[in-house]
Amino acid sequence: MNLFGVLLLDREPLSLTAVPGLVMAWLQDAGGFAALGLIIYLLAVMLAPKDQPASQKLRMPVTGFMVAMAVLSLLTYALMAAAWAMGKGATPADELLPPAQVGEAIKYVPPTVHWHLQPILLALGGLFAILGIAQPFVRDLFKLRFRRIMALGKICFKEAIRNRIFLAFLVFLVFFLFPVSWVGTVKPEDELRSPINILTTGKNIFLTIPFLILAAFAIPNDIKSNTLYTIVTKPVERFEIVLGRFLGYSALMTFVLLIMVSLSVIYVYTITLDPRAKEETFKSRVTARGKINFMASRGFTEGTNVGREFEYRKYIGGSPDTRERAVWSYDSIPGNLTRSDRDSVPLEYTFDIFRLTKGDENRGVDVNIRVCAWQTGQYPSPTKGDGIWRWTDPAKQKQYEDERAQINDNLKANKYGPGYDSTLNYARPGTPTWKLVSDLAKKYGFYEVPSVEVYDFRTGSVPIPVGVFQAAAEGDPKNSEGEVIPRLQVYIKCLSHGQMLGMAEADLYLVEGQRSFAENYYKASFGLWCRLVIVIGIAVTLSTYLAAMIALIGTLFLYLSAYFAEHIADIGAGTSIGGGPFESTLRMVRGESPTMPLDQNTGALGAITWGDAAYSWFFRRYANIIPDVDAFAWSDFLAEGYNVSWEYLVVNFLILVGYLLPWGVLAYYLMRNREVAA
Amino acid sequence: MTNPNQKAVQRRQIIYIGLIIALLTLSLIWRGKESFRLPSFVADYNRVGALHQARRTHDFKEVPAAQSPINVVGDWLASRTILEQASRESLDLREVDQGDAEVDAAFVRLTLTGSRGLAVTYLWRQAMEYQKRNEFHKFEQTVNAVVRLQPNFTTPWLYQSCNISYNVSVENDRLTDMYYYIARGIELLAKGERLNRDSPDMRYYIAFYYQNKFSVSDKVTTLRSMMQLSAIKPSERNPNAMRDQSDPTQREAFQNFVRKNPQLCRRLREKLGYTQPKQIVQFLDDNERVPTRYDRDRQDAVMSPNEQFPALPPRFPEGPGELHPGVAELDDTFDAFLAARAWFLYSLTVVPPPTSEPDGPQLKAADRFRYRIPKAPTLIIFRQGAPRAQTYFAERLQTEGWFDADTRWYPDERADSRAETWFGDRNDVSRGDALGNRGEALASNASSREAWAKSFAMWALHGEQNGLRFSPAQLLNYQELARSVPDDDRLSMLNDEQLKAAGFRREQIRARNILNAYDRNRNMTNIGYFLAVTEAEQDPQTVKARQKLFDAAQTEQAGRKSEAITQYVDALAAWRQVLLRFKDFHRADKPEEDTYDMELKLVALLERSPEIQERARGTALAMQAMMPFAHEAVVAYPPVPDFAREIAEREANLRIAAEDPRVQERVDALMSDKKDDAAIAKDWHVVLKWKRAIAAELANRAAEKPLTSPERQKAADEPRWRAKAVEAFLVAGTKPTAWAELNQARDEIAKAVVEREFDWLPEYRDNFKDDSNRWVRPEAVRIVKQRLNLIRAKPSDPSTESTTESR
Repeated sequence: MNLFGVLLLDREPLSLTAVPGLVMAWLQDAGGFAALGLIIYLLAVMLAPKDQPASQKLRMPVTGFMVAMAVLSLLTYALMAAAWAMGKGATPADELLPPAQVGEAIKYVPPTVHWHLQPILLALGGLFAILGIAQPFVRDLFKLRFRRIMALGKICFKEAIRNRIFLAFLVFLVFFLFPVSWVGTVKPEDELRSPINILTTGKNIFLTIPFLILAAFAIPNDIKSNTLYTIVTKPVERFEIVLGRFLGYSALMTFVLLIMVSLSVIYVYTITLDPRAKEETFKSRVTARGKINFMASRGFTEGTNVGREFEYRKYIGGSPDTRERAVWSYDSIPGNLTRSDRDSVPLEYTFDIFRLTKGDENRGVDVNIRVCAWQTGQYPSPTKGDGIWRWTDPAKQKQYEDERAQINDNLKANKYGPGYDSTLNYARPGTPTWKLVSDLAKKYGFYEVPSVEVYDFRTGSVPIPVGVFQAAAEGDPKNSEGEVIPRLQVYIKCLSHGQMLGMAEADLYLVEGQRSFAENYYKASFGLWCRLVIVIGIAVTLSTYLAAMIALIGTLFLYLSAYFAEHIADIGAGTSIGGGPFESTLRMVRGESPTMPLDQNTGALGAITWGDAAYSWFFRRYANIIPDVDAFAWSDFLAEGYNVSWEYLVVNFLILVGYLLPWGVLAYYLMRNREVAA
Repeated sequence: MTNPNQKAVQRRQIIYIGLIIALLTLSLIWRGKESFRLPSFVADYNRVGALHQARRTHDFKEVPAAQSPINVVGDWLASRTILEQASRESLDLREVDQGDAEVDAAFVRLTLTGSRGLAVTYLWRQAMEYQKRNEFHKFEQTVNAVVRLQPNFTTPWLYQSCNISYNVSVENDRLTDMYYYIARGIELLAKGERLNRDSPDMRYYIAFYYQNKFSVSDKVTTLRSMMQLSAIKPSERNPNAMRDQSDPTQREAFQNFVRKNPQLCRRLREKLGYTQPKQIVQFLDDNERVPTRYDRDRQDAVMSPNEQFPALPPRFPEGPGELHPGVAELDDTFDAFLAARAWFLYSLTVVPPPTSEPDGPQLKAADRFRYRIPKAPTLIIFRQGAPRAQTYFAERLQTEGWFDADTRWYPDERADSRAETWFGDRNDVSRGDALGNRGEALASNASSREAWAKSFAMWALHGEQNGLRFSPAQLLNYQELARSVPDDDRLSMLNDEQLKAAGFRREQIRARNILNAYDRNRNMTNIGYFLAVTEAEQDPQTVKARQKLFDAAQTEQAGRKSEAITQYVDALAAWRQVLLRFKDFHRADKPEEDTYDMELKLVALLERSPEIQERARGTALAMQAMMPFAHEAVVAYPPVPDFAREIAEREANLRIAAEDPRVQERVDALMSDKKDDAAIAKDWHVVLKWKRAIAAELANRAAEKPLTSPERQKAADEPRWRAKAVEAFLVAGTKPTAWAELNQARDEIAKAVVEREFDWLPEYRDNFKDDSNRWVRPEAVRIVKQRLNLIRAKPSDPSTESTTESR
């Protein structure tokens, strides 16, 4: 049995298909903040005293376009409010997630586009507000000159080199390049995984802190040392100062990160690894994942919850007679799987075994695997106690079984000549017998691994003949009723009595191919790069208006909040155990358990509920402004030996731009309105 | 020439430098650095130490007088330096006084600048999250960070080591992984112990994990074997050096490995079924990278104590024979129980010394700070860890078949094929025993008998030191003294005069308290059982009986059922003598249940024998014939299995009882009886039958050609041949002979004797009315039958049958 890494995917990485939904959500969320900003801005201008100096008036211009957009935005929001009040155009419940339950983990689901009146009005209102508030910003963008920004950026490099604290932090990074075995015992299989985790943690801490300090202190220090006064007397756009700082530190960070990543790659390639670690994680597998469903005699089920605290996996019961299956469905077949130059595709899997009986010493459980193209439908036997699933076309099943038996007889009788095995059962890729297996799989779109032993959290692999994928890729996948069906399905059955087999969507996949580990290292570091750019962006923005230390603490608070996003989402959704702050306070005063239902006869229950709802609303808005750092987490992919797709990185970049753009506009306004003239 | 301003500056600079030097010097003295000690006429450091102790105990009586008035001041000052106040004699505040100091961890703690609590809380939460997600490599790293950030807080060490050794390890199905995490948990606690030298709890729990994880866990056979691999040098267990069994060099390497590690290899072969060399090599290959104590990169040199696994305590005077990290090589006998024993003994060095006084140890004032009381378990149980570990060790050797110094293991004795032959010539197709040769014999340097003897000695010492075991005279003395003293705790609080007024003496009260503690602690610790078991098990008679039982089980496992029945009968008869001799041992619950367990093996073999099956069928037919109306019930609930079981149980008891020396004595007497044939035939027809049969056979053997039937009849009645028959019978005795008639004769006569004269013997009772005198009491029988699921269920009502649907 081969050993590979185990990848836990709590949330599926965002792919390009999620972009429209993300854009809509961005328009709704960022647009809401933009509308608020626009109204505050317009009110500030309107309420400003008339006798203020000309320079002040110049810094707060109001154009007709802004006013028009503000009016349009308000009108759209008013329409949205009316539709909401009348109950028209809301997103139907079946398109929304079921309401979260108290105490249950909130599963991340990427936003989707809803073509209904209310969400569209919300997005439209946001769009108008964004256009309105961004108009001066966009207009002034054309005044920016790259040469001036570069010059300001260069200062960042020089200052950073002069800054000894920054250099001291960088020195710490070198310690992370020491072999892990110097500081402790590592399991042979973890000899690569552990250093990668340590290096990532080290880079996370020792790059974030110095760049946060640098970015937060840059502009306030310029003001403190009066250099900013000199700069603003030159023909420099104020936003160029912000952009110069941001791009300068980002470039510096990129340079340092590149060096660190390159050193890390050299380190990883030069250390002596245990063969087990090499086999497990020193690779970059390109995988094709399907959608998981659980099925039993009564159709789709949710899988069994065995009561583990981590509810990532669901379980199927084990027995030769069981009709329970876990089914992975593929709506499309990647071209790599049907290439004529390959004869097999590895199917890898990682399952969790939940034992109801002790089992045998040092033995896993047995699993049956069926890979079926869309032409070969499967359904559970109607007979209780018959654990074998039937083909939807019994004649075809009979034909398949007869032909397989015939081939086996021929092999036994040595009719195919030398070089063939005596049975199809033990055929391995690269042998003439495997060709027979593949041809049979192609003809019927079916391949079965009768029994394979699996161990707890150990990734196993079985070769699947390429024929079955070629069959699945052909034709138009529809069933007899004309409904579109998946092109390929993988059925998993647990054969061992008294054992439960747990699995999640990411636990089974087809290996399309391999890429370079070094390339994957650089790609995985892009996530860290995005995080650092976010930190620099927020810190520079806040430092345009706030004191350096306040900007630093503010940025740190915002950034660290992202690591508690789950908890914040819990509070925002009102699903935290014990209720919101008001309910919790009441419970504490009464000494009630947080899991007990609240007494409905409580006085002022309405006020408590309203207070908690308001609190949740504010937390939801706060959740909108904290960065989604989890979207940039690729270290597990790298450490476990999975390729980080370019598609994911493109989406990462789009998210980064989408997140920083509002901060950029804010920085533009703050810097423009700041009094810096001596 | 300097101007006045420059002069003032220079003056100021000189003053500043002088002040800096003075303050620095003062601070060095104030800190109390070794190199800046005060001269002896100023400070007497022996007196300084006494001052520290006195401050701890608030007892200044033992402080010697100062040599001079200068010393009074000097000693006081010296005892107040920072170093002295923090020192081991004083407050134990220095990190080096607590245990080893870690510079890197201390550096990280300093850089956290007061936010250590926050960091630790975050890391702890993160660690729990990783554990929940089964991301154990991240979990372990995080745990390591947590404990190192607060190294002298013992609870996290104890909690997380237990968590890793138990909760994390069992999440891994593959035993290599399971073993790795058990080892990591123990290593973590051993590391914590090095940083917290005086913690009895940490020492105790290291021992407890060793003992518990390698004695009662489900996968103990493999885990024990892995533990042994950890103690073998990597080069000696290199699978690549013995993989190719067709290569003489590699085969020899394999054989040498087996010779050097017979206990390990026997366990693998007999318990795990690795009968072929390639299976053993595969086991070595799968576990090549187990945590070890040798550095493979430095020619298997022993690693530093901090890096070794199995982690062992340092050398300590109270355990001169115990294993420690300095031992160059751990032999094949090494196991987790020996490591546990060493740690248990080491843990006793920091708890108060044992005493038989019920009010606990009366420590001197200074000693109160030397010792600590463990949090758990209670002190009297805490103290018995080492003898308990030794008992487990003895049990392990016994279970694995290493009984005494003469015990030999023949690896090839039961080899079924060439592939399973480890030492014979690979081209020699025959099995060792087929050639009348059991093959190469391997001996171990440890035996259960020695281990039991040591175990008994340890329990006895523990009992004597802790007031759990008194000589009969001592016990009688205490009982006499305490006879008139009521069981009232308040009496202990009375002073001598009050006691006198109440009519008691102090020693009477003491005797009462000692007896109370004796009863209470004996109940709590179950020491009576351990003393009885270890005393019996160390006896050569018990060892021999155990060996016979082991051999019978081996024979049964090899499929030689008929031979196994004979061996079981012989072994159980020997075992019965042991139980008769050691009454306390017999009546301890476990030996009694074990006895019935072993008897059931014989019953099961007999039950399946054709003879018993035939008798059961006959009985069932007879019952049906007598009760034709019960036909329906008989069909629904066939009685043959029950009859077979009952007949087999009776037969087993009969055969065992027939081996009793009293029965055998009677058999010999009957055989030698010189009564006339008619008289013998009247009461003992079977005796006459066999006398004649043996006489006829003797005559037949003595004749030049085989005798005819009439000639045999004639010889059978001849006194000459009959006398020779008796002689042959007596000479053969109870030993099995190649002469079937002699064996059969003795068995049949003995059974007849038991049935007619010793029918109480199968139950072992001297008194029919009292169940407590049974060979195995009904309660033990019920427990064992329940455990083995042997109580046959009555046919249930179909309507109440489980209807769990397979989905």
